[in-house]
Amino acid sequence: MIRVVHYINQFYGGIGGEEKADIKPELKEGVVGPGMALKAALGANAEIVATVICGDSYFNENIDAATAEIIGMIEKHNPDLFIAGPAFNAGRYGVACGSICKAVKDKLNIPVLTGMYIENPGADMFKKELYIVETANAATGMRTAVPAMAKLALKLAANETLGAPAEEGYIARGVRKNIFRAERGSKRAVNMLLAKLKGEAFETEYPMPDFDRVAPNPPVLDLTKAKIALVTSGGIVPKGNPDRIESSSASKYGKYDIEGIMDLTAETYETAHGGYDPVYANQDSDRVLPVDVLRDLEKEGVIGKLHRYFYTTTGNGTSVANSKKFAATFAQELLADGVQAVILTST
Amino acid sequence: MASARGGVFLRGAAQIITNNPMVRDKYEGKLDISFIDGKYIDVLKLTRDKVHQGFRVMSHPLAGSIKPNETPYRSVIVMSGSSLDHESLMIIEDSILAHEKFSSGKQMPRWSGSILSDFQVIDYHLIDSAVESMTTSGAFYL
Amino acid sequence: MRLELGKIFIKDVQFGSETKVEQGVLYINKQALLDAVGGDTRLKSIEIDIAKPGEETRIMPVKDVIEPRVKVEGPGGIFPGVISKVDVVGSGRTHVLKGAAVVTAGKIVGFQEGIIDMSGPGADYTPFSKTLNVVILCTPVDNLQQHEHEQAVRMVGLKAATFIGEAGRNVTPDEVKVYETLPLLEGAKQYPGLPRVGYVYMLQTQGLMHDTYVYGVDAKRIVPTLIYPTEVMDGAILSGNCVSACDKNPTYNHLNNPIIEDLYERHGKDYNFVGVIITNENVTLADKERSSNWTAKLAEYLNLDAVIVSEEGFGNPDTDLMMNCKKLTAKGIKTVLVTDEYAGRDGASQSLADADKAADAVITGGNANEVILLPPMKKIIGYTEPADTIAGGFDGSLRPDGSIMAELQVITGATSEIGMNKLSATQY
Repeated sequence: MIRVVHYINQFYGGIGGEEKADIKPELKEGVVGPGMALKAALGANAEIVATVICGDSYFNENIDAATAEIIGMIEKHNPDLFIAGPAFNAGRYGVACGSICKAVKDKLNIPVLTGMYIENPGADMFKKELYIVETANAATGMRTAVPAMAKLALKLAANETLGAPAEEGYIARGVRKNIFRAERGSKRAVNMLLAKLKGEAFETEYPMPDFDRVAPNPPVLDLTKAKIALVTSGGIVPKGNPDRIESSSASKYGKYDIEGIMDLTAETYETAHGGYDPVYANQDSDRVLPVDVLRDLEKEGVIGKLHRYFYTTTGNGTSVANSKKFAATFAQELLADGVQAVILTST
Repeated sequence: MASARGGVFLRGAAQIITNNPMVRDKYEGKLDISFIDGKYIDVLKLTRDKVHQGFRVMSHPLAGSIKPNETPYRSVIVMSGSSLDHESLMIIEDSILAHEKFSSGKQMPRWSGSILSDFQVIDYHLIDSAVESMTTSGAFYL
Repeated sequence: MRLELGKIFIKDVQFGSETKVEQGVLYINKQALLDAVGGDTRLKSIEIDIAKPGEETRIMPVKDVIEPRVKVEGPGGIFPGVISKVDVVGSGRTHVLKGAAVVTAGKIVGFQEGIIDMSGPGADYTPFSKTLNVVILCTPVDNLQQHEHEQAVRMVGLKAATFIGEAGRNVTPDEVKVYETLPLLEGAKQYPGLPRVGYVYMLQTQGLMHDTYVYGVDAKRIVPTLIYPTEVMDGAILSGNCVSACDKNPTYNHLNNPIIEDLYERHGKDYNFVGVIITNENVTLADKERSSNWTAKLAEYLNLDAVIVSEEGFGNPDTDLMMNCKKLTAKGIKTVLVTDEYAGRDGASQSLADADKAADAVITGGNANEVILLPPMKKIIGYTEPADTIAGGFDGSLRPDGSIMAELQVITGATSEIGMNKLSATQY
């Protein structure tokens, strides 16, 4: 009998919505909520022995403490397999599922599985390390998500070698795996050359790294009520660069309070960026980070409010991985702070 | 076989950033040397800093097929310039990423003295092939 | 230029009183071979052994693998500019002892690489577990300089292959294959409607232990140039490359370059295989710019519609590969690249040290960082102690039971960047 522990958030745990998102982890024997369907799909050889429920806000605001506490709860039940979610497109739930799965995998060394929508930020954060079943973007997709997760979970529990992402239904992890193909490389090269010559379709064996494309978000419907934040890769920092953000190849970003600040002046702000002539940015940092104009717009009622903090780093030579990591972190903060739109300036 | 050339080099424009004592000793008095008593990655990072200051990378920072988590030695030739050279920046950043990839995979073995000296010899010959090419083309005299 | 390649299929190799081929068996007079390769005062001793497919034998550290060939008709001899005079080769007739190989082994520098397992899981990854190997183990005199040592071992291998190849001179081949490339205008006249295809052959040329020789010239000193594909089959290109066992091209691979063979397969049917551009992989960026400019210019000069580009080695040459790709593509020439990958042990890192959008058609020989466990072998030819100090091995690689845990990097020819193997990688 495969012993399974299941993790869900406060909503699927039937405790409540956003107003209950700060509840601490709790442990229930047996199945709760979507665990019913999961139990059925897992069949007779597996049993969900316990369910951990935790509020999304609580988890994301207390990641270390919450993780430790949840690991303790899971460990007690001595599971063979751990399943979290599915989280669909719920961002903080997805991050929680991913974090917990990774912690269980690392600490308890048992197979883990979660499920989420491909655009859930948790998917991007954890797909390299975890198997994440690709689900629809909303809970209406539960009926297809659960059997898919159960099937893959059983394979993982049986220590089976998994096939390619498309055939197994998990989100491509972006990892390279060696395989033997039917023909030797030179023959494949000649075939690909012929296809390219004839204008026929061919599939490269090594796609170049993504030069990322981002689909635009829907427009903000009512600017007069929107809270807008400023983010820049132009390196604007309080004078003296208190966090010592590097002039290039930045390893960090800064978050600075602009409550009550109406204008960035040469005395108070400057740029840390080493990739462009800093004279004009240092004279008036509003040229890169337009706080003054947004204050005007705020006064005129064009926008609802300028967010209290701005985020900044230097884009000069900074790795894509670092940029992604920075944004993945502060985008969550911006969402939690109720920001609806961001003006991102670059240089 | 290539060896340290006896020719006269103009000082100032080009320099070798290295942590390889053999490279330092062979080129002492012939070329400007930024010697680092440090690791492979420290050479790459100093090269990056120089690129930020307008230097151009003249020899590939990943020269040789010996992987960055195998050889402790690295030498790179840079040449001063007046503005940020983006191509140099891309190359040095990609090289630093490649270094991270290898060094996160496996620790460098604790090499014995004779192996260390072999690594010095190979690094020296790789950089010497660059010096030779730059000498012939006159790049050192720019 | 027209070459008849007569293949004599070798089914077994044995020591005997006379060096000869009889009914598919290659007999080698060990002393005569030792005499033929000996005489270099830089080497203290030379030992010869035989390793056959299926045996529980491990050869390490491997330096080069060479196929025995002999020129029986037409100008020049095998390995022109090094063993034979610098006559132009590639025409007439050449005999090959197909299935046999000379493997040179020994320590040149303290850190080592190059494993050939004749059976077990490692054997699946190297083409040289399928050949009958005459292994030559060279021990140098004390304190020999590394470049002298490398040269001495290289020459022993070439001499041995030449000596053994002679045994095929008067043997009737089991199969004769004809390869022909016409001079430019004649070729264009013969195949007027066909697209024009070429091969850009990148050679490792960074310096000591990273060198390749063309007609005896150190290829780092050339500008890209043209060569008939059949010249390569007669040993015009030789390996002096001792680092990165998995993706360097041993001399055997140059002689048997599979891209050349497979381009010939459909030559005159689907395209006109016009010829080969050889180019180098030097250390300075100026050399890279010059060589890639020159490569693209020659391809344009030849009116090529499409090319295959093969890389050799890791890191630095990724930059040459991308420069070649970008510049060829910019001239409207359709380009397919052949490379291998260093994607980290977990496969999660970026595979190449450079990338370009123009590289939209890539063949990969696999991830050289993937870890493999090589079980202990009954017989070792060479030394196992270097396992810890092998490229891709790591501290504790050599286990007490004689097994080796290492990356695929250690296996000779495992991730061939000229497409010798079926191994590849894919996105998971």
